[in-house]
Amino acid sequence: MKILIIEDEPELAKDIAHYLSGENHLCEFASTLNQAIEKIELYAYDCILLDLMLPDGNGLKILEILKTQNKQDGVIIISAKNSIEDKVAGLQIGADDYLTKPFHLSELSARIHSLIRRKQFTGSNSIQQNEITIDLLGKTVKVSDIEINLTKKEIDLLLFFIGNKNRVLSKSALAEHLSGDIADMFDNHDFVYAHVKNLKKKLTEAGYGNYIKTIYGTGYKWEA
Amino acid sequence: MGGVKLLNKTFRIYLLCSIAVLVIAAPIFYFSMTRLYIEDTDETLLLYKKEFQHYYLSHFRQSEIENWNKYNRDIKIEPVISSVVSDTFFHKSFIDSLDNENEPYRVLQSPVVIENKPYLFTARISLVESEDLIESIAVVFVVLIALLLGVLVFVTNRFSTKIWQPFRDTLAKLKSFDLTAQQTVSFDKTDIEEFEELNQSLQKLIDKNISVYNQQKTFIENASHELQTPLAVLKAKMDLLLQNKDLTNEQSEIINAIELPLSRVSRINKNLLLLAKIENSQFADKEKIELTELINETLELLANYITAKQITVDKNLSEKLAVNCNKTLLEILIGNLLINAIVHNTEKGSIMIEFSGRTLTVSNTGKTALDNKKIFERFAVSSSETGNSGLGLAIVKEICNRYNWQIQYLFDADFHSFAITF
Repeated sequence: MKILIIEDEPELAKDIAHYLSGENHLCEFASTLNQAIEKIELYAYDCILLDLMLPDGNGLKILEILKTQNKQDGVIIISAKNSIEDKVAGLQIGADDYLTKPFHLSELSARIHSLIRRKQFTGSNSIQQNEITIDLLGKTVKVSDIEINLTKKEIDLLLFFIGNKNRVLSKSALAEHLSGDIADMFDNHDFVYAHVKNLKKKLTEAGYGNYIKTIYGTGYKWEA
Repeated sequence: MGGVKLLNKTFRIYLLCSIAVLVIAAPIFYFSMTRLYIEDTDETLLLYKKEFQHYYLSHFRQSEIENWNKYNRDIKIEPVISSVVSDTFFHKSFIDSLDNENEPYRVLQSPVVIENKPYLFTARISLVESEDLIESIAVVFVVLIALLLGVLVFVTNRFSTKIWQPFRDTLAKLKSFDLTAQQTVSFDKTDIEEFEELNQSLQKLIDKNISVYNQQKTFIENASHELQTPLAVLKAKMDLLLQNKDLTNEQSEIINAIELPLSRVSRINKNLLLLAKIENSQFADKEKIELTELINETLELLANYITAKQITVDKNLSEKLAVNCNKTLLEILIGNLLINAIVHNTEKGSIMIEFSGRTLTVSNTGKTALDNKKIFERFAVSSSETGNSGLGLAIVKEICNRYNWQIQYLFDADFHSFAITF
């Protein structure tokens, strides 16, 4: 997958690329609006990560260019501006998602996964992972053709793990994913433990391998 | 306000001053009047003497003295008893045979020679009784005071309203002035110098205040904005560090311990930014929002945290309550109230949410009452104690202020309650 990271903070761009590197993604960088415009005119990307506040202009311009040139690149806005107006404007012009800084890399990774999945929609929108099959439209999960009963939250959690294979996910990242922005307001994310435990239990009972590992003191990891 | 009105105060001072002046002036007036009167009398007496000398003395006979004295009550020729060498004036009382009363007189005695024999010319003029004089002066003064005050009251009542109008206008504008409203005040021009000066000084003060306030707001907004990017880098670095396969248990614990303060910083920053935005009057558009629906949605989002703390939620939202305001702000308001009720709740505590009329009350179990005065201030409760940003309720208050909603805090029977009247 080809990903363009349009971000003027080089450290952040580097870290994003580093985190995504294990996933068979190819990351390219642009730190100014002009660089970004050059790149999108020359190449097509599966996903563009777009910072709105660039030294030489507003990133929303990229969206306009993509729209006028009728390009299909998926765009996730990553912005320090947590304003509804920007969010609405961005999504209206054609962005697929909006993530406010600061964010967990795992959340970004899950969003990229979900975006690419939607872009590659082929009719039977399902994900295959080891012995598991997730039907994204029907919201059903099957382990070796036997349907298991997962709650909405558990499916969400499962997708988040799959979107971050072989990555250690901190409790706060999981909490933020499950509760959204509101998780920011809490220090205690112990509820994550209960959800992961339930998910693990249901998967093991259905005969699925124990892929979710608890990492001492920090969180969980899906080992595939 | 318990003070005295400026008008009444000046009026009182006028009154006291006039009375004082009149009281001091009355005796002075009395004495100079008496003096003038005596001087006048003396002159008249001298005139009598001159007339006598001029018209009668040259041909006056001793034999005529008896007759003269018989028909003249006030000018008499008497034999010399004591030696009077020149004109002598003095006061003397005589019994008035008609009234049988002592009457004061001014008397002039002067030596005259009639047919070579010395005689005493005595002329007298009755003086008005001094009591009568005091009485008349007093009457005149009382009438004067009354007249003066009457005019004063009339003038103050008649003209003060007009004269003080610019002052009242200024006061009314100051009262309605709201620093957060981002609107400067313009005072009407007045031809009274003092008021014009006051208005100009106030204008300067207000403009300066607005500018300082704006600078501060912009500063907070910029500062929070600037912090977002380094925070994002920090968070990303932490996520990467977690991926390190060679982390020892000790290192993992340290990373975990960093996550907490990091998320607090980002929470405070987010809330500061939000406050700045609310103060900047962003979130302007309004719509009608069903409160019950919004509360249920928010509870849904918070469900994980409510269950984790084993909190029971009692809802009594049977009545419909629609609020006309900005949706994001209302979401934040309800969110903060509920988050507050969870964070400051006890384990296995409860939350009660109810409507009565246009008042929404959110209560939660708690142990000790909070300081009613400080509770809505920024950072009133330090974040290290509660883990909260210290801004949640300040934001709630700010939103209430924006829409003129009333918010009240109560602690009763181990329950913290926040009541908002929309």
